[in-house]
Amino acid sequence: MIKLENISKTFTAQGVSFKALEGVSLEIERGDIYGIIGFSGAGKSTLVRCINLLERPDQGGKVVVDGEELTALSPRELRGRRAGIGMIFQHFNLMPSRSILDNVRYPLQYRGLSKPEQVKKALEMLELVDLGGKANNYPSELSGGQKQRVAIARALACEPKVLLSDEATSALDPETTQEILELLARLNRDLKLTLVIITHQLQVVKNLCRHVAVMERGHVVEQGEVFEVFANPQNEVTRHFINAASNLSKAEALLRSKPDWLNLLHGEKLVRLTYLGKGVSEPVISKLTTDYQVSINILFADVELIGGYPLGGTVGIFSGAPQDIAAALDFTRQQNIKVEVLYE
Amino acid sequence: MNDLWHSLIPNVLNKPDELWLSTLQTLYMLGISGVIAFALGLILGVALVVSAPRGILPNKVFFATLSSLINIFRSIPFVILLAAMIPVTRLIVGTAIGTTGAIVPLVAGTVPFFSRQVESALSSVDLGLVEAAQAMGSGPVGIIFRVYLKESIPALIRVTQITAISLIGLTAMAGAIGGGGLGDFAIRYGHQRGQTDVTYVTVLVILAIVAVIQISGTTVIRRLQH
Ligand SMILES: Nc1ncnc2c1ncn2[C@@H]1O[C@H](COP(=O)(O)OP(=O)(O)O)[C@@H](O)[C@H]1O
Ligand SMILES: [Mg+2]
Repeated sequence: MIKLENISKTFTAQGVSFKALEGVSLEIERGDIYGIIGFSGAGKSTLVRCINLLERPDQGGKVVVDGEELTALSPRELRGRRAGIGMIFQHFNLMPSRSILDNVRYPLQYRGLSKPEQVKKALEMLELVDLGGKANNYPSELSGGQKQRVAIARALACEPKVLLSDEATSALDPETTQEILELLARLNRDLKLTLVIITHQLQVVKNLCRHVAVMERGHVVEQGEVFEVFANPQNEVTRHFINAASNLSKAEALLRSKPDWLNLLHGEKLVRLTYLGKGVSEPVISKLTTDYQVSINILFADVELIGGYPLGGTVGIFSGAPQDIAAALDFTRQQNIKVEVLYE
Repeated sequence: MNDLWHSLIPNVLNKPDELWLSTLQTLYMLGISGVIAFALGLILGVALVVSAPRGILPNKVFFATLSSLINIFRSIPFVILLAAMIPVTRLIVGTAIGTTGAIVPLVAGTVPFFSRQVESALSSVDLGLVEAAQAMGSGPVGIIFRVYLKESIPALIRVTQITAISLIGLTAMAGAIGGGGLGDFAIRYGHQRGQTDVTYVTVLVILAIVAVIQISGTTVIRRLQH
């Protein structure tokens, strides 16, 4: 659906040039939900602005959307194609002087529709995002979540096949964020809309995306299926991202700083189990207790469903006969679980 | 009652026609030069915002040239501009005197100020709106009319008010060198012949014009606000 080939972008300010993107290539399937994650300044916004050519990539870059090479179009043709690519933003960017209805009508005025047809379509879009009752209000009268839903209605008014979202939930509270993510998931399902989601919030990628690209300093450093990327992060940045967001690593840091607080008895081991693969479904811990006579005192556990599979881990104190513990750990390793003895 | 008025403003009451004519002349200068300066200032203000480094059609040379021309014209005191413009005025309207002759220097004295005011009004439009409009397929013309101008209507009304009021001040000066109008009226009678009541009544008439401009502008702005 979207193909980016060798995209670089150089900004020049006061004679100093700066490469915001360097040779990025990506391919996004039709109907996918594709996340782009990275720290601030990594080049995420610049990359996504290259998809609808709000930012023109340096010579040699190629952007293909829905089978058409946008980089080869004239400015006028390009403006026509932009209607097929919706975009939403962190600060909603609704026009304050226009009513909600007129905001949603804005892109329709380029479609050669009569005014009643525009109004009808705009009202339909507002129904789609559950805001039919707000047509005659103004943006300043709406909450952040409602504004973002209006922005979504506006972006979808021309029935695009692709929706680009640049930090669309970053200005919202967690509850509203969840609401917007659910709406986006529904649109992806019902309208077969391809979503490109830029975010610096790991949670957004975990809850919504099927594929993810991790960006750093103008490069895509890692990409793939969300579960694979998060279960086996290959890159330092990805790992950093995941660790910074995980409660497990906070717990570990606490333990490391106060080892005597653990008060391990002779033969006891402090072990971390990390669920690596999609195969972890057996109730491993209860099996260890019943089949291997090892008792486990769980100190921390942080397991999340990502793409429908559990990802995360457990830190606990294993106690029992040494050979039983060894056997239990061997069994665990065979279950596609990473075992690390942190302390003994 | 009549006696009271006659003792308060004797010199005004013996030339009501001249007061009325002067008021009309002021309104004429204000109206014609105001409309022309409004149109030109709007065009130049838009040109500045659009060609600025972060504008939608950035053009360094054009922006720098226009910007410095405006600065030069703005720094010329109006009285000097009045004299300096005489040949140009003759060329454009055929005469350099009278109310019509005042129009050209009034426009020249107002446009630089007004275009800067328009520039600052348009610059306060959130660039995010411009970006959103571009993403929805708007070209430069669409962005100028449907985003920049549409979104800054209240600010444009406000700066138009300010400019119109300062333009009244300029018409008084232009009048003094042969343009007619209330300024000329007040100087000829109030100042040169010591008829103080003429000065005060003229001030009241000017205040009334200012009040009308202010009240109508503010009412429209209030209507537009949500
Ligand atoms: N128009 C621009 N001019 C100059 N530098 C820019 C411009 N846009 C972005 N940059 C720079 O490019 C880098 C990437 O920016 P951006 O794509 O916005 O990052 P992100 O969205 O990942 O936070 C930043 O260092 C930013 O300062
Ligand atoms: Mg960004």
